[in-house]
This record gives sequence, structure tokens and C-alpha cells, in this order.
Amino acid sequence: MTVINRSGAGGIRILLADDHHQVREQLAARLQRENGFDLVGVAANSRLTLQLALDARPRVLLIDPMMRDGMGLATLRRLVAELPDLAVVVLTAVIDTSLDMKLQELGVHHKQVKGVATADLISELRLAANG
Amino acid sequence: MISRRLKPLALLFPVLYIGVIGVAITAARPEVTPAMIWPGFAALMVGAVAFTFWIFRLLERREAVINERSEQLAALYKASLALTQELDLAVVLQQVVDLARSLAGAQYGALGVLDPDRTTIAQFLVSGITPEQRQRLGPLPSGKGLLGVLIHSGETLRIPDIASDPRSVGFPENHPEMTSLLGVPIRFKGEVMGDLYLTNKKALNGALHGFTEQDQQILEMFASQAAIVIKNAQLYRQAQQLALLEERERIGMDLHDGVIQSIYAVGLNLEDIQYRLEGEPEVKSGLGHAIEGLNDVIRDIRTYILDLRPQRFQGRDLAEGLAELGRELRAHSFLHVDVVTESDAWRSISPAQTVEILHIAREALTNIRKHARASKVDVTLAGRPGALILTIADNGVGFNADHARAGEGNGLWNMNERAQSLGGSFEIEPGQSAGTRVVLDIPLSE
Repeated sequence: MTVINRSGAGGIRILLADDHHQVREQLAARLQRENGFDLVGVAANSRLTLQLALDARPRVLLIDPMMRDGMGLATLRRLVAELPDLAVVVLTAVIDTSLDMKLQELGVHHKQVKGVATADLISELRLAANG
Repeated sequence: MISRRLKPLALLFPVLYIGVIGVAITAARPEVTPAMIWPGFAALMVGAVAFTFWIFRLLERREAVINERSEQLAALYKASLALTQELDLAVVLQQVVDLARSLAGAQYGALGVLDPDRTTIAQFLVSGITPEQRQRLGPLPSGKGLLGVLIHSGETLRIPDIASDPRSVGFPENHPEMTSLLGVPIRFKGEVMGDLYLTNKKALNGALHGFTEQDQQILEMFASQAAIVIKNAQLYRQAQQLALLEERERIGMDLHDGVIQSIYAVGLNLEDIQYRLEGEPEVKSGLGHAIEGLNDVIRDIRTYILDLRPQRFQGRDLAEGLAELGRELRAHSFLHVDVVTESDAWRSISPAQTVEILHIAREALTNIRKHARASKVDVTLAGRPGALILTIADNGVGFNADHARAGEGNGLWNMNERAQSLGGSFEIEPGQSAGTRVVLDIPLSE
């Protein structure tokens, strides 16, 4: 799951981070076939997310910060601080007020809940990349 | 008891003794005639009898006091024992005030349980007052006047006449007449957790008089017992609630980590299949429906998880709570949600009412999200004299009462129930141009 694909030049460089196996596989497949996107890495936990993001320098990080290792938000906080050019799109199961506030503090404004049409996610990713 | 048996003896004995001496004197000394000594001896006898009566009256009074005290101690013991049989906090509190009232022989009793900040009264239970009287009294006492003195000083108050005490602020309207007061703090580990108030000491003959030193001592002893029992019941309730919350949290986490993710993955998989299919428009659209269905399921679970969150609406005021519901709806749908607060009327409703109203609002918003096919929702909190009005209007397809009754009437029924429990009304009507308006009208207590 730590594949780094440097081939698809020209597209929006995306790093996908989600610790749910099937979700990760499906989203990776979806992003790979989408025109204009270049999936540069897929991370299955917080540690890999940090490593791949610092390594591959994606334009957009698509992340579910609610990771079972409990370090998702901390990792996100660190990446936002270290990579000022990184655009973040949060995709998670439930966004409650407390998570919403934390994301706001981090300056993350692009967020989607899981279970909304993928087309909306794709346009959110483009929006984040252009923002 | 002993004194009653001794009394005839004690009366007879000195009289006989004096008589015997009189007889002995007249027998021994012929020159002394009975007429010379008997008037004096008779006076002595009367004096002795009077003295005996006086002593016995003192003894009897003393005995009555001791009896009353031992009866009170027995009652105290029974009361303490009765308290330990119960774990339910509400029952324990009522028992404490009822038992305290009977222990001190008071006409009225009350128990004020303080907030954790120990300045305001969180619960106020009464004893000796009919429910109708309680109703007419209105809201909880705020802890002014003598109640306040007791709360802030943490010392016992024993006052023969409330009205003539300079610290008294008088009674509200419809308050029963009260004269004597005995107020005792309930302390646990040195901290005041509440106060017992007893008024109108009733003597056995029904006359009212002040509370005695002894009533005070007994009540203070009872209060220290009550403190332990109340604390125990509070801890028991806390432990139960904690267990429940942990269980909810766990269920929420399972749904969050497991179920939603898995369904989402299946949805993505179907989407992928749909994409790969060549031709077959019917199958494609069928897959589209299936994906929509899965997304609906996810939304329902999400709402359910949010509802499971501990103290979802606790500690929020109504305006804040509605704003949060608006934010949630925005986050989980494409609806444009506006929450407007037009009046300050909501500030006078209680926390319990607030929670009920927020549940009604949430139900209404869920219905809109699921069934209305609307693009815009307006939530308006307004007021008119003596009432609070919450309106939730959408621009969707309109409400079909028959449909709601046939299939998904449960939410409606819930909303109606909740509205009625608030003493208010709940109406669903067509919107001004399109859609549906839900209007909740809740009377405000003065």
C-alpha cells in the first residue's frame, strides 16, 4: 500500500490516506481512472501518511483522520504546519461539531462525509487543488 | 414509669412518719396533749405532701423529656435504617425529607440539593405540602433570604419566627404560612451538598411552637446519615450512567469504524462496476438506485451515531442547539439551512424543555432531509407574549399526511408526544409557496 506512482505526470498529485482496507482500494482505483489526477501514494496508517506526504510532496492530501492508531489528527496537524502548500480534503464517516471545530482550527475547509456521491468528492478535490 | 409507682409510697411515707412521731411524743410525754402538737404536725404533713408533689412533677417532666428523646433516637435509628434500603436517588431524597419532617415533628419539610458549585439549588423536594400547593408555588426557590443564609454559612439555623427575623425576605404568593424554622446543612466530607428545612414545629396537642435544642441535635445526626446515603445514591446513579455512556460510545465507535466504512466501500465498488458496464442502461440505473440506497443507510447510521453521543443536547441553550442542528444538516446534505433567532423568549425555558424542543427540531429536520426533496430549510425561533414559537419550513415536495401515517408516522408521533409533554402544540401545514411548515408553539411559564 505504499506504492508511489510517479508516472502520471501533469495531473493533480494526490496522496490517499485511509486505514480501512476496502475503502482505500476502491478510492485508489477510482482516483487512478479519473482524468487529471495523479495518485502519488496510498497510506494505510498515520505513520505512512506522514512519511509519504513528506516524501512525495503531493498537491492534495485526501485523508480520513479518524484512524484507529489514534494519530490521524496529530499527523494532519503536523503536515499542515510543515507543508504550507499542501491542500487537504478530509473524508470521514461522521463530522460532528467537535471534529468540525478541530478542522477549522487547522484551516481545513474541504471536507466530505463518506456516503455522498463520488462525483462530489472528485469536484471537492479539484476545488482544493485550485484553491 | 417508675415515678408513677413510687408516688403513692412517697406520699404516704412522710405522712405516716410524721404521724408516728406525733403519736410517740404524746405517748412518751403525758404533759403534751394531742391538741398542742397536731396543728403543727398537720402543717408538716401538708408541707411534706406538697414537697413530694413538686419533686414528682419535676421527675415526671424529666422523664417525659428522656422518653421523647429515646423515642426520637429510636426513630432516628429506624429512619437511618430505612434510608439504607434504597438506591434510587429520587426515592432517597424524598425519603430523607419525609423522615426528617417526622423526626422533628414539623408540619412542613423541604430538602434543597445544591449544584456542584454549591451556590444554587438544583433540586428542591418538599414534604407536608399537597401537590396542588406545590404547583401554585411556582419555580424552585432561588436561595434568597434565610435559605440563602443557610446555603452560604453552612451552619444550622433555629428560628422561632421567620417573619420577624431581619434576614428573611418574606414568602412568595400562595406560600403556606410558616413561623418556626429549623434548617440543617447536609455535609459530606465537610462540603455542604444540600440543606434540610423544617418549619412549624407541631406539639402533640397540635399547637405550634419553636423547635428545641433536642430537635436540632437529632436532625443534625440525621443529616449526617442522610449525607452518606444521598452520596451513595448519587454515585450509584453516576456509575450506571457511565456504564450506559460507555456502551453507547462503544456502539457508536463500532458503527463509525466498521459499518459505515464497509457500506461505503461496497457503494464505491458498485460505482466502479457501474462505470465498467458497457451498454445495459437498465442495469446501470439499477446500480445507481442501489448506491443511493446504501448512501441513505449511511446517513441514517450517521444520524444515529450523532444521537448516541453522550449528552447530545445537554448543557446547550436552545439557540446554540438549533445552530448546531443546522450545521449538522448542512454537513450531511446539500440543503441550504438558515437558523434565525428573532426573539429572546427562548431564554426563559428550562434545560429539560430545551432538550425536548431540540429533539423535535432534529426529527423535523431529519424528515426534511429524507422525504422533502427540498433545497432550502428555514428554522425560525420567534416569540409572542407568553409563548415560544419554533417554525421549520422547507421548499420541498410538501407533506403527505396519509403517506406519513401509513409508513413512517413514527417520527410524527414522537414529535407530537414531545410537544404535548411540553404543554404545547405541534402543527404541520403546507408552506407559503411550496413545501411544508412545522410549527411548534410552547407556552412559557411565568
